[in-house]
Amino acid sequence: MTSTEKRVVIPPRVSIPIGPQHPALKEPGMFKLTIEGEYIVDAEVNIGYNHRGVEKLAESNTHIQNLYLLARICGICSATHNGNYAQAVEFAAEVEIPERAKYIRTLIWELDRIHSHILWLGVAFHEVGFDTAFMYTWRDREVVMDMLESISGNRVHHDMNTVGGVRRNVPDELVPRLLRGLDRLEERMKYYRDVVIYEKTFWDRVAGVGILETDVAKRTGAVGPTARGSNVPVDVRFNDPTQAYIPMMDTGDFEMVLSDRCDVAGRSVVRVVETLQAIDMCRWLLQNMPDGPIRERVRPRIQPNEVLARHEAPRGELIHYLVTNGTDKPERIKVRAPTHANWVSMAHTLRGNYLADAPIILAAIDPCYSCTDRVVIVDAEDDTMELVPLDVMRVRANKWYKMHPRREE
Amino acid sequence: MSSVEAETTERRPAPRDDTHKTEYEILDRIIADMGDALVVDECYVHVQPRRVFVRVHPDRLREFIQYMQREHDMWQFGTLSGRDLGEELQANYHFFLNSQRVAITIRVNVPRDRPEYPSITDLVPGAEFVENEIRELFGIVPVGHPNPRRCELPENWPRGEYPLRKDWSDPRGLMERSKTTGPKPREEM
Repeated sequence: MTSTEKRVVIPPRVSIPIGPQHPALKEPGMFKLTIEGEYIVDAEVNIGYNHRGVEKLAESNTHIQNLYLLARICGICSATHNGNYAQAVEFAAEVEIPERAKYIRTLIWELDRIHSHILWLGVAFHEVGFDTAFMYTWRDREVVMDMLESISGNRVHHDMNTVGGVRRNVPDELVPRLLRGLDRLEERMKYYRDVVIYEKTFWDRVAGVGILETDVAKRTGAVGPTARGSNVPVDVRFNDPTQAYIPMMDTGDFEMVLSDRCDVAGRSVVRVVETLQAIDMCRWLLQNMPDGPIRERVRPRIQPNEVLARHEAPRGELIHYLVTNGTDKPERIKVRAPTHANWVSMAHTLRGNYLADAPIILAAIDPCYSCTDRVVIVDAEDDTMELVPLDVMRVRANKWYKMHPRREE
Repeated sequence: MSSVEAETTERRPAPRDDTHKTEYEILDRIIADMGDALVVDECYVHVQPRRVFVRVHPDRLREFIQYMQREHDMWQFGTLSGRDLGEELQANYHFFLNSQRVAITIRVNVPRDRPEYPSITDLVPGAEFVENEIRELFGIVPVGHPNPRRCELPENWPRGEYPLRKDWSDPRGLMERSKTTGPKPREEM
């Protein structure tokens, strides 16, 4: 008790692989965390467990077939791949599509963004153990899902776009109903914005967690709300507008949402405010939608050309690099989905945080991931092995925070 | 279609008018400063707004990237796409000049029998995953990559088979089977 001898305690280094497989969920990935006590000292990201060879398959399909193939890359933001490929082929064919088609395409993109951000918000609430808000947000997400269904006929895979326009019109009698839905969504989103910012249950778990500095975010090529939460001004809607974003940005009513907090809280605020902005954008699109045809005939054989189509998906910038060769099939199509760009900064973001924060940091980039479902804890001391599902880890994390509340003041 | 034809026909340069003024200013400045590192015939401004394509000699690539970072404030990295041109393989680095709002594609051609060029991952850390990807899928080797590892293909994928090359003959019938909805053969279960 009274020993004056200084004791140095070195906590054991434990390596925790999170992932890679769970048969019930999509898109496995693997995160190898090295922890010392409760701190993450090193992290390694391993991806590629779900490489399906879409780029190779797309080279043997026609452009019309590829629209539906690429929409199936992602189940949450299917409209982005579908629409971006359609605009890539139109750029390559150098055709102008009708104004009304541009507005409808943009409307679907923005409604998709609203549903994806609300979905993320629910997941984030769930990861920090705030399940009431999780249920609330997902209930209100149904409003936007119903709106998408009433326009496109489908809840998830809308497949609204075709080469030269869109496949379905937005009938005039639907517009008042959509505007009513947007009013309801806006009211609810304002409430969730206040929950995110003022509710201590959530804020204390995300403030100061998962720091990604501005220069690191720039260097590692972070995109989307992850980058904008670190004050990096990357948003294709503003930097490289296409479709109806061009007249929308010319009005000057919209500004890029940025936060200089650089942590998970910053990313959450960016997403919530962006959802409110997307609701305004949808309203603007519905009120200013011109009359006219919704599609233009495009010859199936596309002239040789190379185009770089960019679109701001809910998770960040989506790039399609399309090379056409004069036939009705692409010569090469490269897809860069936004989550892929955010992996590089992930290792840096995880380093130096508590293990209990790993679920929310991994969820904060809104990956198309469901891969952290099972965790193997290997203790280096006695070589014991324990299989822990993510649910148990989340419960442990919440219990740990009950004992170690974050109280700076 | 031979590679030469494809190369000549898919480039669609824009006329020098007001709508492409910024792009031509950037391209002219690059050619004036670094003209000897470029294949000037294949550098052009595309008719699609805000797109510039330049081709760099592989041994000058790092120098060119450093020049762009220093002089043009190029920090936003997009992605890296490989191409199979027949005789040659091509790596396309897509960057974005955020302040001028221009997308610039920097490409290097490497011979098929010796597909190597210097890696730029230490200059652009965001390129780590995609440079691994191009090595696996196209067999184009970025020499000096700090962390070469397998990231997309399965562990038991045979050496020397690069699936995205045009001459990949699909020896195990993977593409055929992927189009059917039937069950996998028993030996693969």
